[in-house]
Amino acid sequence: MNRRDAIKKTSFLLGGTLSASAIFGVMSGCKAEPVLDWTPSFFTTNEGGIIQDMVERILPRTDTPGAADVGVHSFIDNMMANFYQEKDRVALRSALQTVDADAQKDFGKNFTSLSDEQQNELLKKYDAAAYAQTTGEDHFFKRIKELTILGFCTSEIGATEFLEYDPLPGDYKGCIPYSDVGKVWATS
Amino acid sequence: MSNINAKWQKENTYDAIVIGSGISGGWAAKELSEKGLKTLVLERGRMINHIKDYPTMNYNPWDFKFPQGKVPPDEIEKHYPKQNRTGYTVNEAWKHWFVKDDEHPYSEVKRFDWIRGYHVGGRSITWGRQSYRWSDLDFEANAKEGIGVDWPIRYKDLAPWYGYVEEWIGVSGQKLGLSQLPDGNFQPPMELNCVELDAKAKIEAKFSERNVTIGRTAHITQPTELQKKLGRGKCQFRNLCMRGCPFGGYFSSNGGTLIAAEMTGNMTLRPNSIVHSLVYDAKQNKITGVKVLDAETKEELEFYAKVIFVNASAFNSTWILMNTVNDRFPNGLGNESDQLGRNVMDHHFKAGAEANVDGYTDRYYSGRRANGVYIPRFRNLDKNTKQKDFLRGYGYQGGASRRDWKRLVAEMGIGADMKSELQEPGRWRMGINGFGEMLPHPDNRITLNKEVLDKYGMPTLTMDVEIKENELNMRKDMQASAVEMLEAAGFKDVKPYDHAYGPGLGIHEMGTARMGNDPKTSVLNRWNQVHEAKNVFLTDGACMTSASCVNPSLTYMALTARAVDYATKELNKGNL
Repeated sequence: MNRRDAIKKTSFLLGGTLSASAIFGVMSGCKAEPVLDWTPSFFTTNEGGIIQDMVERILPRTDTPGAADVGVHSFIDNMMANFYQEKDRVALRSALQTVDADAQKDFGKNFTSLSDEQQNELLKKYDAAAYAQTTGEDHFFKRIKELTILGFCTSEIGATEFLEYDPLPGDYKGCIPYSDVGKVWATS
Repeated sequence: MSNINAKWQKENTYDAIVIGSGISGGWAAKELSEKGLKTLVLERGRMINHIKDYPTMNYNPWDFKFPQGKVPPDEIEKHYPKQNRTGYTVNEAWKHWFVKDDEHPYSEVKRFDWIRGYHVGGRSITWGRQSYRWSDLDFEANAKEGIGVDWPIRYKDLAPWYGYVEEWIGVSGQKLGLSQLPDGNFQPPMELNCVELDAKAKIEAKFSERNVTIGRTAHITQPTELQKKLGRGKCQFRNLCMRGCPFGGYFSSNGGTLIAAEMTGNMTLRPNSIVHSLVYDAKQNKITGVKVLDAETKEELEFYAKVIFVNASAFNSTWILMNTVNDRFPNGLGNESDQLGRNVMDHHFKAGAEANVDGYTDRYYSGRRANGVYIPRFRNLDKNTKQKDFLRGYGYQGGASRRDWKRLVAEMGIGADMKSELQEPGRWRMGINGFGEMLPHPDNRITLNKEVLDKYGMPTLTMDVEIKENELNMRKDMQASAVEMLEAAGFKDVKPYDHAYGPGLGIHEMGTARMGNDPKTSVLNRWNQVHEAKNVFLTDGACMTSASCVNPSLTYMALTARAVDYATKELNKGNL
């Protein structure tokens, strides 16, 4: 499945999607497997659930769609399956195991069974660690965050509804009031 | 048998043959066929029809397989390890315009980035489009400084041809009246943005000899009747140029010269035709044709003509001459001077400065301008601007813009607050990047490599090129002057940079078959004829005797139009 299909497939769910954690947070069984409304090609069901929750915590639904609404999780799944190299796959897989281990340690549950607040707490720790790091391989969370932002802002909904996209400007105006545009351009 | 040969020869004889369909080959094709010559254009790569064969021209960001057209690292490692050295050429949006390195090898004594595409139109689809005239400051430099050999022409020889080409391709720009960067026949300039306008005012106030202007670029801003007739229209400011433009907004062979050549009915375009060498007839003591390998059928064919234009791109044109070996030309055609393959030049760049800009947060722009500011050369123009550490000079290309959503990748933060920041443009930044002249040096050379063969069994090239002291000293000044100008503009956190430049990265290969007055020290004469074979003309980057600091394509086009005019007159006089 290419990215276009991946996003098409999930975008019809817009507005109706519940995150894996919203459905399964209440179940709170410590080994509970999330149930996904999409089929990952690289991730296991549990890993897919972690990624889906993660992207939604990074860019949550507000008055605009969130990352999970536009299918950023399946976009990342596609990147892992078809873009990155084996060493990247191994590294992310092991990082996601650490995520569950950390969730168990801090809250006694797997990541997908945590509440939104608990997930946020853990991810903020990763975020701080990722941006404090100055040497060595990038922290896995930096890559997930980068992919989330990229996937979201280059998706059709991200570019056209969340950002300002003009496929055919026709003209260049070099000095206009910002209020005439009101949002950042999706492409440069 | 001889009857069959005679028949083949008759059917495959043209008035003129052009080797290559890129920016200069396209011009040779148009000019020759418009002058009524039956012209065969040989292109080694596949056919690319304007618009029809630009597969990604209308892709939206979400139409790519991976974000921003990024290509998987496995694919890059396998097919594009060298083509990817620019950091931007291997992208789903336009990687089909670049060769696969595993199919088209070359060898490097020192790193050389040979970035190129084999298809109809060549690099005229992907070129940077910046179009500047040379001046006598450039044409006289070698003679004045005793570097290389003197150019056999001066600005006055080329000026009318510059005007002719500019009018035809459409160049937008601002007239400045500078002697070192002559004005052209311009369509209306694109706009500078607010920050660039302020920078211009402050820099020009502080430095009387410096100018900040909009780039002169081969984009149509006000189409002529002739351009409309060819189906070309105004630039739409999409900034997707390298994919191929469905509006014909910028000039390419495919959307310009090849269409005009086709309209004459005199051109035969033959893709998949790899030129092996030129055919020498000992009886006539003359180059009479071209030996071709058909890339699809693997047949070896010969085509004949009175006049041959070699426009295969600088290194490949030289390769063809090097590979034309016979009793008369044992070291390659045009190599009696031993200059064939020598004096490789490029433009060295990636040294300059960038800065943060406070304020203007209530200002923005609309449209995506595939152009920026240009700061013409201001060093070594005269006694007052003479530098002690280096000869020649450089210009800057750059611009100001607001940071966009991508900046948040590098910043801490998640959740609703970060999400709403994504929707806001960031602060303004401005950067200027020097493009410097590289001196010709005989040791900077390419040679024919018979040990490493390509997939057609033909010899390849070995590159041995480096930048030397003059360029290295110039790079320090490119940074220092950039810093002082951005500071004069009142910007903050001004930072110089020198991102390692490797020869070839400018994708402006020049030299290797230089023009000159003396056959003992040059390959081509003042009309771009091979000294030893007057019916062979070479008018691409190989012919350059020095490099100037300005982008070279406009000069190749002007030299080509001038050479065709001369060739036609000589043909009519029976001199070729």
